Formats: sequence, structure tokens, C-alpha cells
Amino acid sequence: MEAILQAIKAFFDWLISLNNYVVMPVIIFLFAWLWFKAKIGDAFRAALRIAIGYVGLSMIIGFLINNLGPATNDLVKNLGLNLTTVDVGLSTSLLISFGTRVALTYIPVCIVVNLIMLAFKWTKTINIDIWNFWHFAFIGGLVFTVTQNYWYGTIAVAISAALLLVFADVTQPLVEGFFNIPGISIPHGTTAPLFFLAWPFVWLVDRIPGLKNVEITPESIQKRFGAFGEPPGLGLIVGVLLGALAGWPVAKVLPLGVVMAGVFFLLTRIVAILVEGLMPVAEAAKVYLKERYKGRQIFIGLDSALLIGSPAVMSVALIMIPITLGLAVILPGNKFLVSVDLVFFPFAFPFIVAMCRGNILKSVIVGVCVMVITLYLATWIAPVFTQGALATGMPPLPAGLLGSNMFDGGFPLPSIFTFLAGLLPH
Amino acid sequence: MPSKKVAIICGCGVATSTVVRMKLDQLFKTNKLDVTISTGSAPEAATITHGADLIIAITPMPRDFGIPVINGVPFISGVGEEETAQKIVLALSQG
Repeated sequence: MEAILQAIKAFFDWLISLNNYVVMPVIIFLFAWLWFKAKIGDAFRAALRIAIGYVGLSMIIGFLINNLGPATNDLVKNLGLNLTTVDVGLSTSLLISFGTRVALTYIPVCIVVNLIMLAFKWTKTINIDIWNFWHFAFIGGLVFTVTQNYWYGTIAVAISAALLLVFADVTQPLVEGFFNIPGISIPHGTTAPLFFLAWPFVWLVDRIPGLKNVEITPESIQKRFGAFGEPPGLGLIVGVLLGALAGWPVAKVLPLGVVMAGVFFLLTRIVAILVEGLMPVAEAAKVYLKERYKGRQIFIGLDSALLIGSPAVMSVALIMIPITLGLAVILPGNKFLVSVDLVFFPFAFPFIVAMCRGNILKSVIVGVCVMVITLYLATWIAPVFTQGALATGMPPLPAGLLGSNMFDGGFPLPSIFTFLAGLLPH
Repeated sequence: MPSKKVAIICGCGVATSTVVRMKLDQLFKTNKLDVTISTGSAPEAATITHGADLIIAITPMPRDFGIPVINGVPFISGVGEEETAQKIVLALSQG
């Protein structure tokens, strides 16, 4: 028995020592083929997709850093602002999620946690949003970065998964009441925790007299933003803006705009490749979970992407983009200059908008409060984030710059876990 | 029968639309339907749905485009997936 365990451990140690591009695909292949009984051809194809997605992430981040790095340096020099933390985007969160040994087991860990929570009736949610388990692996990856301990990292994965199930249950009435989707809950690592972070601000804003009388309609907002509300147009504007702030000539500013437009857009396409690669495992896990709870009174836990098309959510996200850019520049002590994260902004606002009952103005005020906290957290977590990212495939940044992001680097749970991990003996 | 066009509208054009697109690909192949699929996020809806015969919505639509819409959430939740698939095949097989 000892010998078998030693052999398994040796196999995993060898696996981990391989380049990151190889580890996750091998794991996914083995899971898909052995546990979920996929055909070997399908398992292989899916595993290769994961590898390609990983390669794509590294490429995009490298390209982003090569272009945004110099612009950031020049912006800092030109404006005398201390914005030395580069927004390396959600792509880098994915690198950290899939790149440590915590990633080897995070999917089964989350599933087991869910089954235990359901058995003890601590939750009514069955989280079949396997893709978004990456949020939990991200927290685990950060904890691993600090402690270099697989068990601490995995415990962090388990606790985050459990917490999000509870968050999903708590926010389910909003999903049903405001978004009119019954039987569904949202255990999404970016969207759900913001319910709690925003709650005190919603409480305050509700007490400001006269706000309900201000009418801003979603339709007018979306029309005004037009093509610039979509990732490519948004990237173009952000790139041009950053180049201009860096004091660059037009001949350099426009290419930066195009680069950012490309990065914003291609990032979503690359993530789609990863999702494709995960699908066999995800679909099989869904079937497995739902079989066990057929007919029970449960909520199906899904991606918050189902909510963000709502015109109110989209409008608030659009308005918050220039506001958050402005906040990043003027907030004292903030070093994080948001850019690529803007693509995924809508994911932050569904529950804020729901708590404000669709009132755009209130949602924006609450959004500002939340974004201020997020910017400072992203600044705070940058050293650990950068260390974790470098260890999992992010190309190095120019000297003097750190990397971080909002989703999920600037969020409460990752920050709390990272802080606690720092207190552990290691 | 001329080729049909289906537009999938999701929240951000990433995870959920990928899953739905792959399932629809399989559905159309099995039913031997000649359909092109385009996917996009809600802000891109106006461009993506241009000329589409059917819209599969996984997220609230920004507005009415005068094109029939079928709710695609069953492909994500697994609840009612069969019925939705049949509805889609039926809608695309007519004229």
C-alpha cells in the first residue's frame, strides 16, 4: 500500500514538474477518459483544447505586457502618478487557477464539498457550473503561492466552494424576484460575493432622500455607447486613452488602441477554447450531480452570464467603465490601472442592480463604492498575485511594475484568504 | 432548402455561448440541418442577429429585433433540454 501511494505521489510530482502547458491537459484527459468514460478520441481532443487555450492565454498576456508595460511606464513618468500595477486581466487569474498543483484536484474537491453540503442540508444549491470552479482554484492557487502547501491550497478551494454555495442560496430570491429565473441560483465567484460587499452601500444609498426621482433609462445608455460598448471598440478607446496619457505621439497611440482592441476581443475567444476543452468533463459532472438529486427541491447553480444581458446591468457596467478609469487615476494610494478587466465588468453588477431594484443611479453610486474597494484590494494583492502569475506562466513584467487584476484579484474572498494564508506557519 | 442562420446571444460571449454553440452544432448535424451559427454577447446583439432566422437567448435580450427568440438556458441547466432542442429543430425545418 505504501509503495502504491509513493508511486502515485511520484507520478504527480513528475507531472507537476512538467511545463504548465502539459499538466492540466493530462489531468483533464485522464478525468474525461477514466472517470467520466469519454471516448479516447474525445478526451484527447478536449485535452488538446485545454493546452491550446493555455498557450493562447500566455500569448495574449505576453502581448498585452509588451505593449501595456511601456505605456504604463511612460504614463507614470508623464503624469507623475504611481500607477505601477498593470491590469493583466482575467487570463492571468486562469493561469494561476490552472497552474499550481491545487489545480490537479479542484474539480472533484468542489463536487465532494457540494455533495456533503447537500447531504447535511447546509445548502439547496447544486453547482453544475463546472467552468466557474476556476474561481475556487484561483483562491487555492493564491494560498498555494503564499504557503507552497498543496493542503492549505486545497482547503481554501473547499472553503470557497462551500461559501459560494451559501452565497448562492442567499441571493437566489434576487435571481427569481428581479431576473425572473426560478429554480436557479448563482454560485459565481465574481458575482455572488459582491452582494455582501455592496449590501452596506445599498443600505446607505436607500437612505439618501430624493434619489428615486432621478430617471435614467437603460435603453438611452446603450444607444449612446454604441459600438464602443463592445470589447473591440472599448479596447480601442482604452488603448488610445492610455497612449495619450502616456504622452505618446498619435503614431504610437493609434497602434496601442488597435492592440488593446485585439487583446480585449481575443481574450474572450481564448477563454472560449478553454471552455470547449473542459466541456466533456463538465457535461459528465453535470449528469453525475443531477442524477443524484433528481426530484429533490434544489436550486441549479449556474453562470451569472445568464443575468448580465439585462439592459439595466449592461448600462450600469457601461457607465462604470469611464468612472472606474477615473477612480483609478485619482484615488490616493491606488496603484492599479484597470484596463483589460473592463471586458468582464458586467459580471460585477447583477446583484448590485437587483438590490437597487433596477435604479441606474443608485446602482452606479453603490458601484463606485465597490470599485474603490476593489481598486485598493487589487493594489494590495499585487505582490502575491505577481509571484503566483510568474510561477504559472505569465511572462515577466518590465522592471518596477507589478501585475494584478480585478477579477478576481481585487475581490474580498481572494484577499481575505491570501491575508490569512500569510499568517499560517510555513 | 436555403441555409438558415442562428444567432446565440449570451452574457459575454465566452463560457455559456460556447457550450450552447457546441450543443447546437451537434443538434444540427444529427438532424442534417444546414445552419450557420454566430455567437455574441448582449451588447453585440444588433450586429450578430442581423439576418438571423432564429435567436437563441441565454441572457435577457436588449430589445426586440423582430426575429423569433427561443430561450437557450435549458442547454446550460439541463432542465428541459430535450424539449428546447425539438422546438429549435421544428422552427428551423419550416420554410
